[in-house]
Amino acid sequence: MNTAKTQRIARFVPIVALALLACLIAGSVSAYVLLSPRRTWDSDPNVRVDSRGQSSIADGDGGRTRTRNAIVSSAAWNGGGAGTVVNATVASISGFRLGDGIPMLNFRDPIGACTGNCLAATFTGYYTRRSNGTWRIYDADIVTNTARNFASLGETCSGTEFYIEGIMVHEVGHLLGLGHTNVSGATMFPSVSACNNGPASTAADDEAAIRDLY
Amino acid sequence: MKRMVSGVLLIALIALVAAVPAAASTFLAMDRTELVREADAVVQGRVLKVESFWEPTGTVIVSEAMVQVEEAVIGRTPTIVRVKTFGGEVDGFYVDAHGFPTFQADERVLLFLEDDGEDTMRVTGYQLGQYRLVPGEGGAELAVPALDEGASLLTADGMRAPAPEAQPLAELKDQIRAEARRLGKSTD
Repeated sequence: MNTAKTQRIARFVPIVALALLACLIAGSVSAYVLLSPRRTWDSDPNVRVDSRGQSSIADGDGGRTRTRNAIVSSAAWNGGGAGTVVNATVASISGFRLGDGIPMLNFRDPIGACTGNCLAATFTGYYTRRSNGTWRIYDADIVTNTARNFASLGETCSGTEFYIEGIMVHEVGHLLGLGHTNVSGATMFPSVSACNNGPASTAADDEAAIRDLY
Repeated sequence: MKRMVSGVLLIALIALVAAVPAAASTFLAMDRTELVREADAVVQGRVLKVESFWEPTGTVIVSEAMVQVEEAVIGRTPTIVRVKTFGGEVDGFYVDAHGFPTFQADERVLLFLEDDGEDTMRVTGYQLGQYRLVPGEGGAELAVPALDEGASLLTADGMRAPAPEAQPLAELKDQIRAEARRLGKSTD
């Protein structure tokens, strides 16, 4: 290799190295994503978990207790370093209405929004703009497609089922104001394998997001 | 050196922009065959207006887009169809229905539609059944998938599904018609 060529290559090495470093930094900085516009609850929401349970779950109570426990677990959002950010109670969700200020996790879909290929849908309602430009979440509700099969940790999961605990901890992340992350393995990563309850436990990226918000 | 720093900053900026998605609900992915099979009609059209209101039951805000049909690619529809989706804004109260189709007046779209039992239609496969039409190179229109980060898409085995890609509108319509013929559906 002649000297001129070697010098040309040598000139590009630091550029490529710096560019790679910049990409790495950019990737890590922008890992977690907050919903836009930025929105939070004024006080810890108390999610009412549908006391009827989910019809496809055969763990004795339709997964309601395990779902509730997963939502408030210190392995999930409440263990993220921001203190308690969400509560949950197994309760009746009669009177389900977006805008009533009562966050609900409905194991059915009274509004017919989540059918066909939808597994679970989250709605957030926000309408008060604070003086700092952020928005106050006034209500958020989750509905579930009863035509799809879920499992809980209290039963055997078949290869085509999704764990209700992981799915709902993910959806509650949206309820709290989080978007999707590009960090694989995080609760807020937008995909999960069947019978993988990994999303029920938050990762460092999720915890950074919840500390940023609350 | 100045050029090197500018280059690095530019790459970092591109990386930052490319890495920022937005919000979500969870859906199973549908391929083209499933979309054609499930849809009652596929139309190309223009959104005339969008109205949001509380459902009569008062449970949720929905939006209706009035779409002027320019061409029914498959199926038969009136010249104007009302397409219902969830979410919207009423009197300063916003409801985000994460991962659901959204519409803007004057935009042109290609939609996979199914009857929803009322006198409105809904988009088949949520955002998977919606394309926005934009000018492409050489005057040919491009169909751009409306899929945004509000949707978690899972394949049947739970893995992240590949997102559909933009393609020439004419090519997309040909593929839809061919798929409909293959499935024995009328293309009238």
